Amino acid sequence: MNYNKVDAALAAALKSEETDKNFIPVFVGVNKGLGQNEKEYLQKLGLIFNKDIPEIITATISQQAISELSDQSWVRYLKLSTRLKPK
Amino acid sequence: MKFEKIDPSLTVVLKNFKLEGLNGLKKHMNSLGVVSSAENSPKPPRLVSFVYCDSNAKFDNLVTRNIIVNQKKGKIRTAFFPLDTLDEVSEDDRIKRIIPAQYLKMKMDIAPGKVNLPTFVNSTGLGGNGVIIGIVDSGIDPNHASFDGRILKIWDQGLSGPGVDEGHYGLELSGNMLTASRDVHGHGTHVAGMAGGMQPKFGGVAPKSEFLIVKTDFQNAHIADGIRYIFRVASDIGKPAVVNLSLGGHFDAHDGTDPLSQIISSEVGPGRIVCCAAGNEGTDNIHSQKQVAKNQVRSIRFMIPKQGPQWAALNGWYSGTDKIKISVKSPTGFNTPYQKVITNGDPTRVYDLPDGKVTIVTSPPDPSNGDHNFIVFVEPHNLSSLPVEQTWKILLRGELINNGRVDIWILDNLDQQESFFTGTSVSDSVKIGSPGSASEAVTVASYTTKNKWIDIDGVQRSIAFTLDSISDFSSEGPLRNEIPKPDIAAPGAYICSSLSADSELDRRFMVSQSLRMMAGTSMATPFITGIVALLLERDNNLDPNSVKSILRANARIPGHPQNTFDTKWGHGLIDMSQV
Repeated sequence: MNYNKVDAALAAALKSEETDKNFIPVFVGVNKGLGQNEKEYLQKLGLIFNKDIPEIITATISQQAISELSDQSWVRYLKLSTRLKPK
Repeated sequence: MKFEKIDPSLTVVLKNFKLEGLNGLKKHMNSLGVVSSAENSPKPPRLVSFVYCDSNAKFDNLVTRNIIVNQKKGKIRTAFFPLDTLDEVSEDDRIKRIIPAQYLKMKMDIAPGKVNLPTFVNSTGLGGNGVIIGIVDSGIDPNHASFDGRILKIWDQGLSGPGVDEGHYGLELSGNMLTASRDVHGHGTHVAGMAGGMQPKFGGVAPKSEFLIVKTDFQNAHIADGIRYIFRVASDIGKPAVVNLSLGGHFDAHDGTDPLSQIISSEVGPGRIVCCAAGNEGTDNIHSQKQVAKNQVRSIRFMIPKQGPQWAALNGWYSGTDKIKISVKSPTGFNTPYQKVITNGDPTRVYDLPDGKVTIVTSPPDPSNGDHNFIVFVEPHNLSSLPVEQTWKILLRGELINNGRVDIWILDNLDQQESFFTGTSVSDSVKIGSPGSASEAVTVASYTTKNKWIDIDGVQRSIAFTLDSISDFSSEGPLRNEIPKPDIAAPGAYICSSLSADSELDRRFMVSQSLRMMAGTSMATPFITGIVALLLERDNNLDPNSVKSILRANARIPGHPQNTFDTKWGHGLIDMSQV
């Protein structure tokens, strides 16, 4: 795990016993203009894109996938998705 | 008598009339459309009402019975008839529903009138025709008359299904399947009604618009998916869209660099607008701001209430050019070690103090803004057994200081009582979190136009809100990076709008079986969303900057010159008279 790409909230969630480590909702910041290799890599994680891959991907993935993604050079950051509330 | 066709408030009128005669009607004359007569008058008491009927039904034959239906066509018409003919009217197969007119209508019309919306609508004829209003919220009541035939699709993110292109979860519904999605919270239905609802007693701002609804689980990643979905579907059918986000949180940098805000900024453009709530933390002590000097220790106090979640989560940010160490001090004086930014490996450390468990996360600079983010979790031991609330402290020690400013927010605990900062640790500013912090969003503050109403039981209710002023609860800006927010203020308290039949509600806030009162920047936001829909009908290609320019040019803080900005008012209350 490259913790330099993981935000503080996600680091805390990964440490917490209350987090379901198989289903962690995250934002993944990636480089612009990713190619077919990256598309196939993401597809193996269940992330399917019919068009271009956006610079910010949303995903619900496992701790293992987070760890693997953090080691990819084209991944800029991983941030925990948090729950908002009606105002 | 077919009671199933009769509005419950009318049933109460009938009951009182039967029990007490004309005296029983007096209590309803100030609120409902009951027209009584003098004690000795030969005229019977009559009723002004709305009748729901077949569009082309003819009622000429009823005139001889003094039953007057005012319009020749339409699904909803107004009528005037003796109260003692109600039985006959209800038995008429052509009539589907009878709802008494309400004098309350004038009061509910206060909000549009305060910003001269009727003047604008009457002079332009705009109603949001050809414009999509996207609502990402708790869902919608698809059976509510306010939205009849105008909901194109619902993406219910909580139902099992293959999802949509933007997220392979949930179920997309349309046509007869819309009713598979319910709004048990009621928030989304109220918001949608405000933006574009259409009903006789109270109409939304853009009643000719169409809806795309995302019923969300409020995960901000899923909200982002919802925004992308709405703009894609609207684009597919070639219509401009405005997305309403009456939601928010404080787990972000409060500078518009969080992923949801960034996605909003990348999704908007010509004919694609997003409106966001500023937030309701104006009177809540959720923010602290301190200036830290080199070799100085500053303390920030916060309290964890005994009744509530019994934990606190805090989200802190400071400049990436500073080096600051973080410690937590417990109520009985035990400290964690000072923790620096951890650049190698897991930045999370857990400390077991006698008063509770403390987790501190000190990550390297955030790649989105270059600033440092730290998270603190505190879980006190046996809080409920203690005689008083506990005051904890965050200690900040400056090691290398170029800027020195530290901002910390206590995070929302959803509906539970929250922890809060105390004393001089409180800072009443920078309380607009994501997505209201998105630079391209129109961020809306709340203005109070109404603080009294008559509930469904005929009882007058009042709330101690100051009328004709910015709502106390409306969150203050600016953003942490000094960008001015909110953008604009609009009526948000108290607002009467659509009531979801599936939501449970305190009857004091019910006005009828189909209307409820709510207050919040959540209500102010759809007011502006509706206005944006009107503007998009006039010009399909308006982009966020041009929309904001129009709104700013037609807003004012009372008693101040135009273009004055205030952290609570934004650029002031919208005035549609000259738009």
